[in-house]
Amino acid sequence: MKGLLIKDFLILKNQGKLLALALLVYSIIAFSSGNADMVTTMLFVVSVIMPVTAIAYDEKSRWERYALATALNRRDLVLSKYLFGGLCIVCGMLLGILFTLAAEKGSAAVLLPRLRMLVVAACVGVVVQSVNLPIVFHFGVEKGRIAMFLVIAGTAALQFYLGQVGIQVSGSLFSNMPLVLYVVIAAVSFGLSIVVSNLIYSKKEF
Amino acid sequence: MENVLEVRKLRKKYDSFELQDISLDLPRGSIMGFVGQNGAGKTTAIKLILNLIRADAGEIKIFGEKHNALDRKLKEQIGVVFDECNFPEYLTAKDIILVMKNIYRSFQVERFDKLLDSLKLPKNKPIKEFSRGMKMKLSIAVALSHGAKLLILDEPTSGLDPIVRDEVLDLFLEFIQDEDCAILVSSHIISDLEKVADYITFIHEGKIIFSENKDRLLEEYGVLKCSHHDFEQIDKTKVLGYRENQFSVAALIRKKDVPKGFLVEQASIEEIMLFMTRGERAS
Repeated sequence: MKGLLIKDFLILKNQGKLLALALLVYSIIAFSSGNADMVTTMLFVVSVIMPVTAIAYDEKSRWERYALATALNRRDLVLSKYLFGGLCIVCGMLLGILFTLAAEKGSAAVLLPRLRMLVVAACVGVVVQSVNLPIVFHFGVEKGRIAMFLVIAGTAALQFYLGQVGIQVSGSLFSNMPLVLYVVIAAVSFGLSIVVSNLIYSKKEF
Repeated sequence: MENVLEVRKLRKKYDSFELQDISLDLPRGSIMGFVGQNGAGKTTAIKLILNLIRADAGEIKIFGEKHNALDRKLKEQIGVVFDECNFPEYLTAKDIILVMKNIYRSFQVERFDKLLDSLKLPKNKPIKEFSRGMKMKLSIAVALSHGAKLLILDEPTSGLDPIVRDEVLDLFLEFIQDEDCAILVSSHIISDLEKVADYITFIHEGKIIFSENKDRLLEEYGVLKCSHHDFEQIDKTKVLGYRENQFSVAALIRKKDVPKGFLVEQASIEEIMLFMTRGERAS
């Protein structure tokens, strides 16, 4: 498992220059405007898609087939991607907090809700990964992207339909939710997603 | 002689292809060449042995242990090379050390370093800049660096130039100096296998045609060349396959079945395979 994580981070290191450049550009904007939203959004998006990018590299080199012929098993491969995704989100969140504290000025009363939003974003990121990874494990990265798009479009369509029949899914319902509930929802979805992915992966042929 | 690998009546059915009752024994201290044309079922059989796909029926034993117990300890002892390098191309050989020593408990960094030196592989160059030969040598170096006792190699020499192929074959021969070790190597380059293999298993259209000691094969079969008239005198049940042209007939036959007065030439492994699959059968 450790070897798999090292491999994924080494590949990430390869993209490091591009990421560092993007981070530099966005941080200049953040510091000059006093608003770290763009940096934190970029960090959020990058950290959420990182495990799928790692899987895309694996697919390109047919790494999974080889890895399963080494001392690793299917569960190792699945868990490593979740761990990698989780670590990316935690790193993204911590960097986001640092940027917010450094770039934005204001009292604790102003900063605390912003920091809360970062933790909420991290939890949402975990939920998105939890939906995305089983789809990618099942369909592969290319087809997985289409399937993920269909999931998002379906969710939007459902929300629209519910609105049409008079059921409003209120944004304030989520924004007023206690932070701990976000964390619990993220943890449960992560756990369930791992179970589903293991099931998918155990039946996969390479 | 104790077998490192035993395969019994292995079956796998796809819509357009079926692997039927594959059986083979790989004794300790030997190299088995697994030959057959493209699409014959070599890779499917290897994938089944490595548990990458599930068999419909049959039994596999590695080091005497049943296949479903293909656990970490057992897998540590199996070195694998596929027909392409499966390491992400942005990694370097130095990165591979970091990754593999955290995958194989028994990964020997010194041994790997030595192999990199002897195979003239750069340590800090990304794999994407390697030639195909270098990539294959890197894969083989990894397989030889974690104390494996069984090497399973799927077309490791395909697409390599003769010099690199020779280097790779030397590595296999060096590996087999330890009599506890064994190699199963699939290839459609018969000349490579004729050089190094002790056993030849020939698969055709999903079926094993023969799995025998190479020397015994060469001793047993011969190519009989004669005129059409002479060929008519031969008991056709003894002919395993033949080819004819306007002037003569060449037939694969067991040397013990050669009628008196006829001469046979030594059959190569390639000829045996070709006669058995592409040669005509006497009815």
